[in-house]
Amino acid sequence: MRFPFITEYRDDLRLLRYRSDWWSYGALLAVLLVLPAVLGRFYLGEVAFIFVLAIAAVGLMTLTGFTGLVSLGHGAFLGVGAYAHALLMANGVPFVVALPAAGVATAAIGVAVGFPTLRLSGLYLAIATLAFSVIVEHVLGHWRSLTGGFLGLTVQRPDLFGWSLAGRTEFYYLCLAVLAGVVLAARNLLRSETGRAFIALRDSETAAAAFGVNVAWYKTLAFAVSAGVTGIAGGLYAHKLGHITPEAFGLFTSLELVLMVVVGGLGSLRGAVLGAIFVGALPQVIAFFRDVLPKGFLPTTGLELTLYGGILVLFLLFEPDGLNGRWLKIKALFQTFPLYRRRTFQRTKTYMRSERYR
Amino acid sequence: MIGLAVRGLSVSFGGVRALRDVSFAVAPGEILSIVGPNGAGKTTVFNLVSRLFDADAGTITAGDRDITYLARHEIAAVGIARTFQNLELFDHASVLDNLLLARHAHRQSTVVAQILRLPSAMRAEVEHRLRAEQVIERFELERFRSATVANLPYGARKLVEFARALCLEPKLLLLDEPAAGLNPEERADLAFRIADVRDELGTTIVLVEHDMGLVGEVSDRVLVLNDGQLLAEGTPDVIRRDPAVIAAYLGAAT
Repeated sequence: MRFPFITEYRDDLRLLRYRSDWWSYGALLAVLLVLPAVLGRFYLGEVAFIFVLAIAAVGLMTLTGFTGLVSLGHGAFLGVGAYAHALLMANGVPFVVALPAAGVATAAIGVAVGFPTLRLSGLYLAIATLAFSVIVEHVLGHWRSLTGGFLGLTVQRPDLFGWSLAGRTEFYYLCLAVLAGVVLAARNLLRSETGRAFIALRDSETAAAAFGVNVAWYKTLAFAVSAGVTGIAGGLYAHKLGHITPEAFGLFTSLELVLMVVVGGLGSLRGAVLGAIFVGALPQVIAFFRDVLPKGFLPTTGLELTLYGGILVLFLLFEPDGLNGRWLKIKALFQTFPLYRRRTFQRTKTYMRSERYR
Repeated sequence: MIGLAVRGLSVSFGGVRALRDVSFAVAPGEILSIVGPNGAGKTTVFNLVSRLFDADAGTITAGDRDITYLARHEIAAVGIARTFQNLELFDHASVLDNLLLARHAHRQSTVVAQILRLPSAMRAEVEHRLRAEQVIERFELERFRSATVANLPYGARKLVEFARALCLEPKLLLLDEPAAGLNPEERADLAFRIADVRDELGTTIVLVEHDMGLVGEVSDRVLVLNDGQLLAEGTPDVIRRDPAVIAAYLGAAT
């Protein structure tokens, strides 16, 4: 095992606490920076797409993984962000302003959804957000004068002070930069006073309130932050698609996002990113097997949904901590080799607490 | 350190009158125990003071402030901290994070400052950490510092909950059955810690407890509730000999 040598609390608050962290994150960054030079155009686009999904997953993770509020409607937030961004850009707002503005607009919608659903939790909240997702898809499809209805909306090409970001490589770097910024901001927020209040709400609302956490305010804030981040992802998603239609932001997208945070491991930002990689890469894996296996061996439609369901069940059964949990176990195996014990990660069973104080 | 005054407190749940016209006062720096048979309304008193329920009648005053109608999250800022009978810890966070969360009432930085880790946010973090470490040292929780609460043994979790309440720097501390489920050694430690907190920090402590040994050891005064009403009040020795109390606990010898 490693123990950091700390002489000041400030040392303990640093983002990278070990020397080896500097090496590993530095190596990761270096690989990501040189990736455009080695990867083909198609795969570079796919990686950029995974970055966009990862941003949205970080948004949902803040709400579901850290605050304990389930949302089956995050695809709709992605849609609101995408349409807000596309409309702003269509009206001549420059990209650098439009993207954050789309985030703010989506955050406002998040507050509008979060506030009336404050008293709901668990299954009821899931149903309410599901209803929201259906409403948004309907509105996007029928408010023709603004959204172009089901014909959709063509998105302007992104540019930064006259420098076009529409090329594959430029777009890749753009998504990477936004993802890095979002992950850093989320990490900082979640390990500060606000993030601890979120975690407190997740684990015991009663105790959180007893220690001064304003439940209504922090739940609404969690919705705003989560929706805002997802809205920013939506803006990038719009550029990725080039032409947006309401169907792109329906229930299926929401479920994909839920799959990302659960498979990644609830309550961990690393899990959100790992989950996005997993879900984002799945279509390519399926396509690969379609080419390799005999024709007609795999059904042409519906395969992804079936796989998603199966994967979700398997993870819930065998690795409830998700990919992040698996990662931590592998890391512990190497750090403590040959003394690793499986029991290290065994959790005491926690039972559903009665909700009598509500 | 603040006192607590409860006057004419009544509350009923459906047809059950959980508390009937209960009045008592706790002086600043005093340790008061509330005892009584199950269902006597002891925890209900705590839940009313920490504003989880609304009282039907009566007033609650902490120090010179009327807290009868405060929102439940405003209680912490008054300086009242509590523990729960059935442990309400943040199970999937570390012990340190549990203690740091108790500092919420003392938060001092804005959301933007936290995201950007501005000096104000860093100063706040260091300050909270220092306070949390002081409590960790007082309660000898060093070896559990970064352990996830859900994985701790029951006795340790009980202690963490006490420590968390202390991190708020409370002026009035409500302990709901702190000795329930502890072994004799842990119970002796607890008695020492309760007395130690009052003697060194001067905190006013109210505790609900069944363990009469512990009650006799630490409390200045004992309050007996039975069936939602005040039955007796006095020093531990007086209470132990009170015929009405003996009758309520053991059944009347008529």
